[in-house]
Amino acid sequence: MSLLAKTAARLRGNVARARIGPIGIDFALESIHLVQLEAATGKPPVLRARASLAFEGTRRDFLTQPLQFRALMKRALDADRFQGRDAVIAVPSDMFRTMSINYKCGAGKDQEAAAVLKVMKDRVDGDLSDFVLDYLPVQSRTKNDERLALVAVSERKPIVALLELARKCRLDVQALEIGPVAISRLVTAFSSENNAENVLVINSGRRASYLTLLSGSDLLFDQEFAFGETGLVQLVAETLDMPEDMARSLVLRTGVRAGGHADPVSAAVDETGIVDTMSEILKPHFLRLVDEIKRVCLYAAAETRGGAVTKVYLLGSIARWPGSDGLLATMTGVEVTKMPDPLSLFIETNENHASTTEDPAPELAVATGLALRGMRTHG
Amino acid sequence: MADIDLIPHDYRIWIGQQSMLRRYATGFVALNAMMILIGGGLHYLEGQAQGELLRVKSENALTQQQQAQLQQLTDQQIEYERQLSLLYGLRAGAAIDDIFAIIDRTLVVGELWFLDWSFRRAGVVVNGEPRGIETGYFIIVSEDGDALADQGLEVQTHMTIHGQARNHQSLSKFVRALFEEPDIRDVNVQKTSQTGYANRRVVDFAMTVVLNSALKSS
Repeated sequence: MSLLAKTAARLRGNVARARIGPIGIDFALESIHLVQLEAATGKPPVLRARASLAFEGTRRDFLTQPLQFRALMKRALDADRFQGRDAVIAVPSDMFRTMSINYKCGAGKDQEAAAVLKVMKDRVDGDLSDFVLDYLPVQSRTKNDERLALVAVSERKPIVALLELARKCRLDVQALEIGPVAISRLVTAFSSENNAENVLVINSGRRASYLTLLSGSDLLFDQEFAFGETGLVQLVAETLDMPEDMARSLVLRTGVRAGGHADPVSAAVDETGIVDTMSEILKPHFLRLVDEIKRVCLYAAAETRGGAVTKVYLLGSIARWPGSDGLLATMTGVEVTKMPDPLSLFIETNENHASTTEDPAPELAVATGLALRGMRTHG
Repeated sequence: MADIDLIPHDYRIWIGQQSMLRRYATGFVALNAMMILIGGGLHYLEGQAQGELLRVKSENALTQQQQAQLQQLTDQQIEYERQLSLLYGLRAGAAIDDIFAIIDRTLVVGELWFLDWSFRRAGVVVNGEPRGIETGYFIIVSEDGDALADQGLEVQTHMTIHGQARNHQSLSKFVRALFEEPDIRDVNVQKTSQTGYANRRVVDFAMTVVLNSALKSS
């Protein structure tokens, strides 16, 4: 190959690498997660950079201390090959709420927005101007001229404070999203195109879990449910009369269902008895979650003309417990799987990260979904 | 799929304005910096040009001074050459012994005798083509170096003769004889008068004989 041809090929390569997506930033309960993707022309996006750093103290404290915020953000951006300052941020879960509303309106975006605002006036406490809201209309659902939309609403003050924090870090916030939307984008990326199946995503946290129902590419429903890891660990600790830390590590090691993929130590010492005990302790509480899942399945059937929930993705803290997906699958009769490693879909380009499958990072699901905003997932 | 965005509309506008303001400010600062740099550069170039101008001016002044000196020397050379030509002219006229020989040939013994004579060689401004030093002309050169048209300095040899002749016939014969000489240009009889000499009357006369400048020995 001539020198000219080599140069041209190199230039073509540089042009092909030109599209770099925004940095997805997720403020989780104890840490901050950042993901950035890049995409060559006509090709699916690949991972460019990722970082996860723990806060000192709580998230609430972190979000009220600009200096700490700036220092941690700088460390996070320096931790990998992040490029640019464009960012898509997920509003922390305690700063917003979602609600599904029915509304009637004529054609046109303005009329639709006015109708949504009219409904929301009665649904929020106080003046609507003190709130920030946006909505996602459910395209597939029109019943008796009534439309359905998922509305995200947050108080204006903390939202502006968060934006100011980001601005002072010289971040150019392209959008302020919510976790469920990011997750639904990730799930859509995992699914094949034109897949209209109903999928439920359970994102379990320390104190609560979030149930997000997707119908194809529509976000039908998102709900907080009081079912968290902390409550379950406390229950195990009280029942087995042991400290919470020990109970947590025991659950993480043995899991909650026999036959689950427990660690090699548990398998070697045959902790089947312990696992059964765990299962017996936790099952009544898992039943609450199962009831909620069934209610969601009924809702999905009602909203999608009998469409069943075909798959349940589990992610978050409870997803780390061995056998938790199997236990839920057994109890609900629905296919429950742990959310695939969010980065597995995006081939690594960074030589520092040899393989995503060797280093799964389910906690990056929201940040990855945020980073996908504006990127074409199928090339 | 549609997306959620909770950034308040007014905040987004404000951010856009801030960004635009920042861009304008950055552009303004950059423009000013560029202008300062260009100004500095131009000032430097102006300094360089001024230095060059002064150098050229001093060189020009030196050249003018040299030109003036050259002109002065040229004028001096012309003057010297003129003086040299004059000197050559003065040195070049008819030889005294030739003049005597001519006069002697025309003189009739006993008919005419000389009482006094004078000889003068001098330059006379005349019109005519320049014919070189040997012709007896000096070319008069003007201030600007051009020769004045049709003007020259002729070296003329005059001989003023005061004498007495036996009679006017003898005087006339003498004059005619002079005219016949090729080296005599002109003869002017200035005055004649009767006067007594011993016991008879003679003609007292005064005449001027002008000889050709390029007189050759016969």
